[in-house]
Amino acid sequence: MRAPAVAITFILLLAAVSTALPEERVTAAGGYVTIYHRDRYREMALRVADLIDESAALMANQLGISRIDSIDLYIAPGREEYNRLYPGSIPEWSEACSHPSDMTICINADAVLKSQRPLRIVLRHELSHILLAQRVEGARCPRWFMEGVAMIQSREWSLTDQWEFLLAVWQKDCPYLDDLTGSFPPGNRRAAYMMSYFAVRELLSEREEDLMTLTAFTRDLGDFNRAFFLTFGETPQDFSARIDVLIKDKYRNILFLAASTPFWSFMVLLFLAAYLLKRRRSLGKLREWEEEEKEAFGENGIDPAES
Amino acid sequence: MEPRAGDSVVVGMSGGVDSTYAAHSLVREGLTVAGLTLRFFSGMGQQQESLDELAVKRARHICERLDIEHIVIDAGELFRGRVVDYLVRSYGSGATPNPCVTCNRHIKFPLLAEAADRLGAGWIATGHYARVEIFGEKPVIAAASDRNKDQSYFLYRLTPEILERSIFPLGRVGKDEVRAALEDIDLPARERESQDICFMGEEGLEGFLEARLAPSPGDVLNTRGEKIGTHRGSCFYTVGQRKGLGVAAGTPLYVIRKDTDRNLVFLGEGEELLSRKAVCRDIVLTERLMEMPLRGKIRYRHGPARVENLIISKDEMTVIFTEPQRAVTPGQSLVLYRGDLVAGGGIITGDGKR
Repeated sequence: MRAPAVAITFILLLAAVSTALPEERVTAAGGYVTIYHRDRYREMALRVADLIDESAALMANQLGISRIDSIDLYIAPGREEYNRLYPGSIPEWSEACSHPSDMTICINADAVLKSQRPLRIVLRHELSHILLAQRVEGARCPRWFMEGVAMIQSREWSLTDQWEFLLAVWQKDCPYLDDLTGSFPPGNRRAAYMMSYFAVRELLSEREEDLMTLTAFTRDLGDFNRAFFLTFGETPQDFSARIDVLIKDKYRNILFLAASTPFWSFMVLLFLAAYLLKRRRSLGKLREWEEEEKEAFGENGIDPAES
Repeated sequence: MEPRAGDSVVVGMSGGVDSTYAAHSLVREGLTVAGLTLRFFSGMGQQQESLDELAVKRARHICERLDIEHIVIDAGELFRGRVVDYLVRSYGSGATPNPCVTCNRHIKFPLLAEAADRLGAGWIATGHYARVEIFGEKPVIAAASDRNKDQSYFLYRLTPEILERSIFPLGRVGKDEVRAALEDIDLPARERESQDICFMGEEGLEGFLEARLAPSPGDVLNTRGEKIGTHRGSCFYTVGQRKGLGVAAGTPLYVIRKDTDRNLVFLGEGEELLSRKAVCRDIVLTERLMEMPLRGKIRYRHGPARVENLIISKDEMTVIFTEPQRAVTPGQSLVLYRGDLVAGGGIITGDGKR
């Protein structure tokens, strides 16, 4: 009974995807990505092809991949087609999604055009998920690791993110890393992404190449936790605890200080002192110029050339 | 396989903090523990023999406190033949050897295993800061969780047969935890710790080599081949050494290389010590771990550096680092790491420059 049911599901899914397939295709240089799109998205498709040419090889190299498997990329015009490609599995608000199991990326063109996130970042983020899955050959990795790696590879971290992260830490809104192995909490998704980025950055801060080792061990052993231990000498759980302490040490104290009255009193005094010093210097300079003018143009200070 | 309560283990006991902790933690885990102290220095003179005496006395005291059996084995002859002779020969040929690597490979661990076999114990243990991990269904040495104390560098030549029955209780703890644990049970935790070369007495390395190699003075040259001083014997100098050269110059000078056949020591500036290459002999490699990225450590106190490429022939390995490394010293071991796992290593013969 089970085999026919699987086959029917597969055929239905295939049918759903093929009816949604746009009619034109562009193949990115390198030969490993095929982009499917409608005519009016040709410009975007070409831009996507350029971005893949620019980024994919370097990103693959960071993960230790020498040859990228073929990837299908769909540019869906809007939410309707985007959702039809992978019904029920993607959040409506997302600009793009990736399905590592069948090596596909789907871009919601409408959302990308309206989004503040540049296409470059959106694409790199999804590409990173695909490449990571290829590297670990489908072995399961915790969500925080996948998202953290994707954010690092897409260079998706700004001063605003840094500030938001600081606030999240201060307000104790930052999730515990070990709670982010599966789906991110819906109400705290942003902090979860930032936490993932922070953790992976910290993990690779000393030895960037450990990313290759960890993913290779994960591939060989099929067990992320074991691979993590063999690479870093600590378990992911110990790492989570360490990150928690690190964040508290690094940020919470700074923010606590920034929120205290003595700190702001000190800052006000510092600004006042700086202002008075600057004013004194300006007055000194002014007096100096007056003296010079007196010497040059006499007591009345009028330049004969201007009079 | 993990040791379980009731299993028997023989622990190498030097009377120091680390081996004491190893024995104590295994007793606490419910294993049947016996302590083994090796007399390494018998026949090497009164001073060295007194070091043995002290170790035996302390280890016996600790075993009594832990209420475990204590065994003493005389390893003097073996030690002289495999370690001391090797050390003297290496210095005589211009190298700077790691006697601990040789001792672990040929003396300490094989004798522990022998003693364990005689006592019917399945396990052996020492107070090294290292771990044994199973990778590809076989045991490999891994760096200790406390990276500052990690001693996996000294253990890279241990065979899989030895590793599969080895326990390193300090592999996942820090020095502070060791001291605290021993203070809690009032075991002596502030006593002697391992030295660089354990059998050097008051004479020091120079006196030791002087008595055995009869070195003669020779010329100190700069890298252009001009004489700039006189040395006391080339065996007293190590590549990378700066102090005690007896040569005054405007810029700091270092030992760049030695020519033992002609009894010459060459000095040069710091930059001349840099090399991206290290050539090794006597290589041992764990095939299943030989995948990039690898890191290489060219001496014990060296932050492992990223390896760009490896060229392996039948009995030689050339390691090319991504960045130049300072003072690639003949005689030292180069140990390769993949993540925290030891992938292999070899004895450095040169930096491939000359």
